Amino acid sequence: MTGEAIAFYLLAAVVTAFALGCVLASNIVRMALCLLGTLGGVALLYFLMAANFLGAIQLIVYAGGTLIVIVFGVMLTSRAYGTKLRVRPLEMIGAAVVTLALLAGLTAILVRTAGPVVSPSTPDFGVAQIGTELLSTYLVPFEVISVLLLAVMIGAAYLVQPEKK
Amino acid sequence: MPLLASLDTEGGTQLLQALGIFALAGFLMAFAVLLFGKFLRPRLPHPEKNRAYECGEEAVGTGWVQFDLRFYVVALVFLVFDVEIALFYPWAVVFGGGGAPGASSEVLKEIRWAALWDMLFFFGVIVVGFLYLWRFGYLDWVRAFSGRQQGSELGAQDSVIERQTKLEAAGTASE
Repeated sequence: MTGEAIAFYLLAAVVTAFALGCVLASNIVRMALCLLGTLGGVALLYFLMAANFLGAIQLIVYAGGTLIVIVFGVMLTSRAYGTKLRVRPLEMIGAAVVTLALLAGLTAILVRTAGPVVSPSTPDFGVAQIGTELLSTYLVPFEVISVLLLAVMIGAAYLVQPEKK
Repeated sequence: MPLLASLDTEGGTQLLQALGIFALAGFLMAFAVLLFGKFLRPRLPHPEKNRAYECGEEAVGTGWVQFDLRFYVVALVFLVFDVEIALFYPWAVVFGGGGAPGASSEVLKEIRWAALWDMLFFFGVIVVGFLYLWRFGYLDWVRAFSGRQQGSELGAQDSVIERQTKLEAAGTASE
């Protein structure tokens, strides 16, 4: 087993453990902390695949930004602390359906693209290439992102608006 | 840099090794200090020592309270600009000429102008949202209590002052 394989299985185990903790914990703050472990572990997996930019983004945006919003959301909800979150059977069934569909889709992709494992085909595919693609091929999606971010800010303003009487 | 050079051939293993060594060294350093202190320090347990220390004040109630909703806007605005910075980075590399190594200065100039306009549009749209939040007081820290029923913070303040002057006037009249 190569060092890369060992690192992968180790990281995969850590990510899985944190993901399980996130699902099984009944305290919402612990869930958020486990989510941090999962997102950070996935970032390390990206680093392992030499996708440095993606890994950095994962850390900055997901492990950093999104998690902060989640933790704030928890802190801002007055009754989130005391309540134990329990899953009802119907919700369990729905979650199972969604998860199994996701698993099936991912397995299908894995089977379809299975083949000799290749290292990054173009070794120098880095931030510069991402930037070039972003500003040429994917320019419209790139600009649409800004509109999406605008919507986030307007949504934030709407959320904190005092209730109209 | 040998670390980055080996990245291309061996996936990210080298980088991960470096990260692993870094994490291990960081953990050992903190652990060693704590362990060392455990052997050296006198052991005098006291219930007072286990209490939460809050600037010498007696702790009141629980720390699990509801935070002000105003933090939420700040958090979301932070997230927006977080994503923006993440997208700025590849743009900056292209703007610096990293996307077309060895390009002539004319081509580079063209790339830079195109990239600049792309980013100005991108940034402009976000700034519109930021200005909206700013202009209508969503970023003000003292606004939430005065409410928006009066239309604006100024109006609400005015009404408070007016009420006070009226009260004072009533007080002097009754005397």
